[in-house]
Amino acid sequence: MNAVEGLLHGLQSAITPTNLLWLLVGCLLGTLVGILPGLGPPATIAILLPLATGFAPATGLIMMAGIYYGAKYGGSTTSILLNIPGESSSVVTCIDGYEMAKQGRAGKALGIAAIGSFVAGTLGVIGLTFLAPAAADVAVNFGPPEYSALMVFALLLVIMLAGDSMLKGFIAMFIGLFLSTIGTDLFSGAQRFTGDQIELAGGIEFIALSVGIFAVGEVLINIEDKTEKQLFQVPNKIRDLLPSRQDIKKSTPAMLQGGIVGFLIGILPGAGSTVASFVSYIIAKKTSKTPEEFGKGSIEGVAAPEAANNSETGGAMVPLLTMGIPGSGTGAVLLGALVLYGLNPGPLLFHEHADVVWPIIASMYLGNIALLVMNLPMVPLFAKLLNTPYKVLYPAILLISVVGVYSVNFSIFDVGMLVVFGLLGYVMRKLDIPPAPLVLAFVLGPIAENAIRQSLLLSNNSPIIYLERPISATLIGLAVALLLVLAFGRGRKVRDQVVEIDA
Amino acid sequence: MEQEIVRRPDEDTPDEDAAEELAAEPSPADGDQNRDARLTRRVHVVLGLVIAALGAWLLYKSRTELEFRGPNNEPGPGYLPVLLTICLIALGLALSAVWLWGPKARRGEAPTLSLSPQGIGRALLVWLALLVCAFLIEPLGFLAAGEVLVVLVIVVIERIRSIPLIIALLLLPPAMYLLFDTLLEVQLPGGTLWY
Repeated sequence: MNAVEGLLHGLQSAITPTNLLWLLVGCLLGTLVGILPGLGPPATIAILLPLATGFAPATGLIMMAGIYYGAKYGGSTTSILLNIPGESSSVVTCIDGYEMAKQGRAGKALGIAAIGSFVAGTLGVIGLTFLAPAAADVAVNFGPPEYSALMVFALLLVIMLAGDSMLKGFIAMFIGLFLSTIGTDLFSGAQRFTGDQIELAGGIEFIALSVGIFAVGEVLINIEDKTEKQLFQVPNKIRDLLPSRQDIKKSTPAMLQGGIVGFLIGILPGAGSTVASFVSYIIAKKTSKTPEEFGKGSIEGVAAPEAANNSETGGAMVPLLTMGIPGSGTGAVLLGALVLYGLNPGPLLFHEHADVVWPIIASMYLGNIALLVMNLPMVPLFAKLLNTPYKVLYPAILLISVVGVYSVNFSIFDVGMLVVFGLLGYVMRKLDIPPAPLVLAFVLGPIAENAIRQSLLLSNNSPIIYLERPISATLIGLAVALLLVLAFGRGRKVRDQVVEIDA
Repeated sequence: MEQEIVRRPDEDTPDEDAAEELAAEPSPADGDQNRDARLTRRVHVVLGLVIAALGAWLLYKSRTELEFRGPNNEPGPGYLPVLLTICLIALGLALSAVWLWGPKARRGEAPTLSLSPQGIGRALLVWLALLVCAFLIEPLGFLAAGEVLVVLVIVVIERIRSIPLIIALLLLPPAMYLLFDTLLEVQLPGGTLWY
C-alpha cells in the first residue's frame, strides 16, 4: 500500500461517527488541559490511557492524538493572555504573544496561533505521510556527536533572544545551563547541588521555574504601579479581535517556515518542540521585513513558533512509528499505548498494522480541522477575559500558578521553588536581564550535557569526533560561523552591543 | 545657588546673565537623570561582582564536591558545572568591567534602570503575600491558604473597597478548588491541620 492509498484508506476508517466523536473529545480535553499550566499532554494521555485502552486501537489512538494536538494549541492561550507557559515549547510564544496582549491584540495573537497551528500541523502531517521513510533514515544517523553539535548550535541561537544586551543574554543562558545541572547525574548517580533535598534529586521542576520566572515575575512587574486602569485594552468589536487578512498575509511565510522547521526538528528524537519553536522564531526574525518588531508584539513572532510547535507533532510521529523511538514525554506515553494495544512500532508497523497506522495519520488531518473550527470561535471569548480588572486578575494568575505547579508532582516543595523563581524573574526584569535565554537553556542543558558526555565517552575524550562525522561537522561549522557573525559580523554593530549597550 | 547668596539683593541682574545662569544650572530632571545613571552604573558593577562571586563559590563547590573526571578519565559529574561556573565568573567580571570603563557608562549615556523604591516595595509586598500563601498551603490547605493570599491583597496591598471586587476575589480560591480538585480530580492539599 503506497502513501496515498494508505491515507485514503485511513481517512475512510477515521471518518466513522465513533472515531470522529472521540477525536473531538480528545481535541477538547487537550485544549482544556493545555490551558492549565502543569497538566501537560503526557500527564493527560497517561491519565486517560486506561479509558482509551477500552476502545479499539484505532479509536483510542485517534483520541490520544487529538489530546496531543489540543494540548499544544491550548498551551498557547495562557502564554499569550497571561504570560504563563504551560510547557517549555510555549516559552517562545510568550515573548511576542504577551506583548500583543498588552497592546490589546490578544485576539489577533490567539487567532494567528490557531491558524498557524492548523497550517503547520497540516504540513507536518503531510510530511509524516510522504517523507516518513526517508526522514527516518536521516534520524537514524543522529548519534550523540550530532546531537551535541545541534545543541551547541541551538544554544548559540538562544543568545539571539537576548534583546539589547548580549552580555546579559549570555549570563542568563549560563545561569539556565547551571540550574539544569542540579539533580542526579545520570552517568554516575552523583547528587549535584541538591543540598540533600530529596525533591531536587530529579532536578528542578521545569514548570516551577518557567511559571515562576515568566508569570509570577511579570505579575510583580505589572503591580509596581498602583493604577486603577486596566492593564490590557481589549477591543469591543469581534472583527478587531481576529487577525485581519493583512495579518494572515504577513504571517504566511513565518507559518510555512515554522511548519517545515518544526517537522524536520520533530523527527530528531529528543530535540522536541522547544528547539523547533525557538529555531523557527529566530529564522522568522532574521527573514522578516520588520525584524525590529520582534520582542515588541510581532504577529510573525507568534505565528512562527506556534506553527513549528504543532508541525513538530507530525515530525515526532516519524521516529515513534517507524523506529519505536519516542521523541518526548508524550511520545513515550503514546509508545506505551501502542505496546498496550499489542502493536510493535518499527519499520514493519506500516505493513503489518496499516489498518491502525493510517487512520491515526488521517485523524491528525481531521484533528487539525477540528481544532481550528473549535478554537477560532473561542478566541474572542478568551481575549475578553483580559477585560477583568487587574486587581482580580493577578491574584487569579498567582493562584493558577500555584495550582499548576503543585499538580505536576503534588509537591509543596515545587510551590516553594515557584516563589523563589518568581522573585528571580522579577529581579531579572528589574535588572534588564532577559529571562527567555535562561529558561530555554534550562531545557536544552540536559540534552546537551548528555550528548556531549556520550560523544566524549565514544571517542575516548577526543573532540575530533565532532569533525569526523559529516552531520556534526556541518553543524559545528554553522555554530562557528554563527559565533563569528555574533562577534565580528555586521561590522561594529554586535561589538557595539557588547561593549556599549552593555555599558 | 552660591552665586545667588553672594549677590546683593539690590543689585540689578542683566537679562543675559540670568539666561546664562539658567543654562548653566542643571534642571531637576537632569539631576534625576544623572542620579539614575549613577545608580544604574553602580547596580551593574555590583551585579557583575555578585555574579562573579557566586560563580566562584559554585566553582569551589563543583571542584571540591564533584569529580571532574570519571574512573576511565571520561567527563565526570563536575565536568559541565566547572566549565559553566568559569564562564559565569568571566561574564560577571566582564559586566562589571564594561560598566566601570565602558565609554557609554562613563558618559552616562547607557539606558538606565527603573528602580523606584515605592514600586519595588509594592512588588515585594505581593511576593511576600505569595510566600505566606506557599508556607500555609501544607498546614491549612489550598482553600484557606488561597483565602489568606486574597485577603492580603484586599486588605494590605490594594485596600479594595468595592464589594463586587471583594466578593469576586474571595470566590477565586473556592472556584479553583471546584475546577481542579472536584472536576479535574487534581487532588489539591487539604491541610494537615484539619486532616
